[in-house]
Amino acid sequence: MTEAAPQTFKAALLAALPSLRAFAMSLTGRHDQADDLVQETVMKAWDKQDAFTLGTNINAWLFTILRNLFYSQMRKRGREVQDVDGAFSGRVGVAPSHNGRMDLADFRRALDQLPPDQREAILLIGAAGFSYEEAAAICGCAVGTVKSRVSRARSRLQVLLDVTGAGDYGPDSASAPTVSRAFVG
Amino acid sequence: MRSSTVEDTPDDAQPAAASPRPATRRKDPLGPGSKIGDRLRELYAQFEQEPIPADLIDLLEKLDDAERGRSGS
Repeated sequence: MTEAAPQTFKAALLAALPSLRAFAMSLTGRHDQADDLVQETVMKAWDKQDAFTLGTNINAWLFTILRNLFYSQMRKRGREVQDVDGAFSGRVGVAPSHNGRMDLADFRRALDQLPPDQREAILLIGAAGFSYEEAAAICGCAVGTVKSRVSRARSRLQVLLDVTGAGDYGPDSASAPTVSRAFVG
Repeated sequence: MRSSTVEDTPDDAQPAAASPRPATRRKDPLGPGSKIGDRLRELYAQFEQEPIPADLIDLLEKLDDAERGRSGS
């Protein structure tokens, strides 16, 4: 990651795109929705670029725009989204792979099962590297709210992925094939 | 990427009584070596490394061209 400060708004925006896209991808879990969101965010940011000061944290600014667009899309699609959530919460858990090590696909499914506000919080803090204060500003909520969302997200992921123990987790090798089959489909 | 401008100040919104345990400095539960944290960063890094779609770059170029055209004439 280069640390040289971009000289133009366009350059700053370009440099932020990979991270912005990663946030959109992990927030929505879908390429098409993520790319639409990033595109809308870029257009909105371009229109509002006078409100941005070069050299300040463009990621935080862009993430704020993107997540606001995400939630307003969700509100518009109200019923549709609820159905999707219902389908997700109907699933019980994500079995780790046979060797007991959860793979990335398992993790992604588990992340998708979190309520959006918890998913967003744990992504901002755990993956995107924002401080709790920055995450609170991005989400428009109190620092304490971010903390409790992150903590709930983490506990829920631990339950879904069955990684509460200090190393031995998941079914033993004898029962693993049976158990994981029960989770498939 | 990791921004370090904001100081780690104690959170006054969080009442001290919320934690049943004494306020010992615990390891960051999402920090390096934590299962959830490591997976989270691995997934995120994978998305970050995906190539930026060409139409997104095109869009930026068009926005930039349009602006240059406006300010140039």
